[in-house]
Amino acid sequence: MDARAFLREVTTDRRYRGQVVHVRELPPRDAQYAQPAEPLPQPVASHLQRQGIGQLYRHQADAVDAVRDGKDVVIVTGTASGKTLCYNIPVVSALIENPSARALYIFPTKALAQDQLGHLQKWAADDEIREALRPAVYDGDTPSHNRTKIRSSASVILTNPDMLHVGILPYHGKWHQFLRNLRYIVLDEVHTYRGIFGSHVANVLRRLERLCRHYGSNPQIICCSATIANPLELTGKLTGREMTLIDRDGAPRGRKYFVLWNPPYIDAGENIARRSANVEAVELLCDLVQRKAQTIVFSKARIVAELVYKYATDALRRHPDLAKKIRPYRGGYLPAERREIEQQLFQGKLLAVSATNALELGIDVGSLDAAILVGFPGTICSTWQQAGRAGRSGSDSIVFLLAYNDPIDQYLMRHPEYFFGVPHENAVIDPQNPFILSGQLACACFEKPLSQEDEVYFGPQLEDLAADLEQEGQVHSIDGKRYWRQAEQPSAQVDLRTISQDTYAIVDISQNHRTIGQVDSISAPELVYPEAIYLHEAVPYIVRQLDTQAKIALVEPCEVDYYTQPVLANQCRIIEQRQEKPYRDGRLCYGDLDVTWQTTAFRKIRYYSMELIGQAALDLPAQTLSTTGMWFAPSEPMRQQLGQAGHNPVDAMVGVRNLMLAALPSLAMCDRRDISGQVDSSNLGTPAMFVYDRYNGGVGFAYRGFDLIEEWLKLCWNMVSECPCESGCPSCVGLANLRPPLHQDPDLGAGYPVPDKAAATALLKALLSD
Amino acid sequence: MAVMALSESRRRKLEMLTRCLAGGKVKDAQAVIDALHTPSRVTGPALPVQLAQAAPGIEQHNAAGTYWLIRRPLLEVSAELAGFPREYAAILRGSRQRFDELKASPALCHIANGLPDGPLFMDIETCGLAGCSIFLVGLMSFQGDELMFEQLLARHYGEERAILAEFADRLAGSATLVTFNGKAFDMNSLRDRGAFHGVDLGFTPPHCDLLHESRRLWKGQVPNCKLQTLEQFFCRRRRVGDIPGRDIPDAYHRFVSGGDAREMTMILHHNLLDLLTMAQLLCAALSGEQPDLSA
Repeated sequence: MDARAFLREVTTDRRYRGQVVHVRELPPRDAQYAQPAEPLPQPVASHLQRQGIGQLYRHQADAVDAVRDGKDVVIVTGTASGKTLCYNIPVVSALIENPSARALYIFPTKALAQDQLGHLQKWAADDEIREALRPAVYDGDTPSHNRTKIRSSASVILTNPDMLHVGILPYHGKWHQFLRNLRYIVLDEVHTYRGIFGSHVANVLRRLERLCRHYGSNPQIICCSATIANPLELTGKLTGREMTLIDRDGAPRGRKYFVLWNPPYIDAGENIARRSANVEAVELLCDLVQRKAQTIVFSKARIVAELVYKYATDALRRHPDLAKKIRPYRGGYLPAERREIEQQLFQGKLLAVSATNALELGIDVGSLDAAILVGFPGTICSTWQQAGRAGRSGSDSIVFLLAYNDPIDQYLMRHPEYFFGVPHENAVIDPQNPFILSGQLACACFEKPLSQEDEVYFGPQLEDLAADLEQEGQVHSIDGKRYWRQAEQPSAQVDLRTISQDTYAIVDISQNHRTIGQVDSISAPELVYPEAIYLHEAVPYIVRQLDTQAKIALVEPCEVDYYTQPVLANQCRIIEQRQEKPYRDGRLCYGDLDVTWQTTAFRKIRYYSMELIGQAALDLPAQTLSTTGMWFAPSEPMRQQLGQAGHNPVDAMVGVRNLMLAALPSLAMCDRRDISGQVDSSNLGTPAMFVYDRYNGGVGFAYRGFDLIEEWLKLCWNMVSECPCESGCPSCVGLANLRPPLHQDPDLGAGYPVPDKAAATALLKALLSD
Repeated sequence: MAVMALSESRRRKLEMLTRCLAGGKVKDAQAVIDALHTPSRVTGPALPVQLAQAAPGIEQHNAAGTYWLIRRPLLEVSAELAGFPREYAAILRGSRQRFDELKASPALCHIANGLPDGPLFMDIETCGLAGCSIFLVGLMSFQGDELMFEQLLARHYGEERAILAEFADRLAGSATLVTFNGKAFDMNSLRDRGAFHGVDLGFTPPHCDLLHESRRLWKGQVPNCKLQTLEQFFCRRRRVGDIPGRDIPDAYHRFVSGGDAREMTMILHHNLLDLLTMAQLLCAALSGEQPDLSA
């Protein structure tokens, strides 16, 4: 498509009122090809020929060579650059050369494993390859009567870390042939293995490696990652090996226009209210679809993906042929439905999808002409990954980032140079975190007795933590080996993820109780509370009952002209103070916190006008995160001092809290999503800053901050004083990074204001001066 | 969300460790933990009962290590059943003629056509559910004119390999294997644990799984085909004071940690009764016996 011409047309349209804030042109790049150092096995070469792949891109050849040299590699190239071939070529070649060889593919989600199974099945359709390549998915959904056969006959197993942890490693005896012959471990989308989840996965991989050694194999590791700041560091910590970076991206790229688009003010003169970003997205989508440009819309909430779809099909009702070529896509659709949409998009049967970040990970949907990001996705990495969905090698593509009327989005609109200059985020993990390692050691001990030699895998804390397990009566030591001494299997009690994997079924009572969708248990009270309107491919269903015991939401179709939005209440309660120490003229505390959130009511919102047409209270149980955290209340004189200097003390505390949340990851080696915080005065009677771990039971992040408070505050000081912004920005005091209201339409909220930089600076100064 | 519950003492240790690590002082961590250790609770009687006393046996050695072998004839276990070995031998010798009448599996045919000393009865006890280690392989076979129990016991976790190796030898030398649910459970566990220890169980002789035979023969006539249900109807026996199967793993762990063999004798007895019942069920199957519904 001619992106330049499209932009010209849109900006000359009568509806256009100066929305384009900035256009950045990303230049095209020609393909760079290379030959592998040694020719590929003939069946592999002819398969590639048949797929229309005459030559390999440079990074693909690099990867093939490095893997052949026995290196452990991490491949970091752009979206849709053909990363999959970087591992499929070496693996299929190895299987052809040695039919008893095995490979294990690990993906962060079940959906990705299914997607990649499809790719491998294409390879296996070739007569010369079929014998050697026998791929199978082995995850929680694999029927138990198929499992024995898969274990004994599949040559490539596709799974996820959770299944490896709970369903494969504890039963290693059944896998002995597979483990003995394991040649390759493929880890795709490794950038998702960060924070608590990544730290757990790193230890699961060490358990895998330890068992491989036991059974006599030493597999090579091939990782693929989206762009992050530190791929070598991340994969090095994740695998415990020295990794080789493959990043000479040789895939061709067309010209890409990145457009920052800010909806216009609608209150002439007052400049407070802006036009809805959702509605702007719909208009752009319809314009693109009418030009037959294949487009993906990324929304931040499921409800928005549904609304954009509904509005777009309404707007195109005079073009039913176009309207039916658009579909929504989000988490919560049934797997078969998702597969169908992915395939329709890939085959070009769809012109557009209105999606959530469920399509951000590497499911292959082909390359599209345009991407519309409704609101800043929250991280630079996600932004570029979503933007990467648009881009064809031979032609131009276009990406729109639409701003909500939210302080962070508006900051980006005012500072395009900041947006295009800010580096990708670091992915941080800490496999040595004692809380995480302790649980993982229990799992390892169950699998094979622990001995001193296991320090190679688990590091210098092994002895301390194993001694502790012994004190607790979980292990028993005989002749220098520690054995698991409980009937219960430990892995079932160690959750790799911070978010529970439990789901609710959404059941249509008008259709014989057919399950039409699902929702994770944390989200259920925010999405399918009683009388909620649940949109599924824009078909409205009303929720009749939410059964929290059976984990079922009963719904039936309805005809209404509104959708619903939950009203949430959050709070953070001190349960028990465990430690305290004086700090400046206040007291710094650490202890147990209960963080609760609850859907207390819901609102009925009319489509299009967003008019509030009703509200009702709800009586739903609160959800609780029992964790550990630290808190600090600045003294009365300190707050007075701030007030006298013309600062709002609470605003200052919000700014410092945001800085503390931004700085803690580098001190406690966690992901920013693993921690959260609050400023609250209901606990102590005076306003206090709280920072806590977002993991049941806590994992010591806030504790590390409590312990190293001086260093922590200095980091905050450096961040804020070195930030070149004038009065506060997302890189310093601005990005609150709190638990986002996942099921709320950002169009209806105001977001979190950016606190005053000067106030936060003044408070920090007071906290750091003697 | 399922998260391993942290005890108060453990949380304190982990916090201390977090603190030491923050300061880069890994070596100091042990000192901190040692200082925090609370003395462990003292339970049970002061004088543990020794295994040698509670379950007399002999320490055996093989290439894979040592283990405890408890060998005793049925006569020593139960005077009431003194006549059973003769009955057993008679049924196995005589079953050839009645063989056609049986709705039998190939393995059962094999037994019917073989000698009384052909079948090796086997039942294992494990440290928990799937994936756990095995600590007891109970065997029974007809030797001379007596039914002989041979229980291979790992006195601690480190002896598992030796009992597996011993079982592999016994299996190789027997004509048929008789189990109850052994196809799904016992043999799978033995193979998995054998694979881990590098002990190859080799070729399995014809395997008669009495759970499957019982279902074939008596399904519908008895409330269910659990071993202890069948025991009531065919052996006219009810277990009193028997240790329930689900309590066995914890009891064994306590034995290993504390050395008190009292509970161990209960486990051994439970295993022995299972083996005996299997022999009686085999006789019932071969002789075409029907359940005694008055039991």
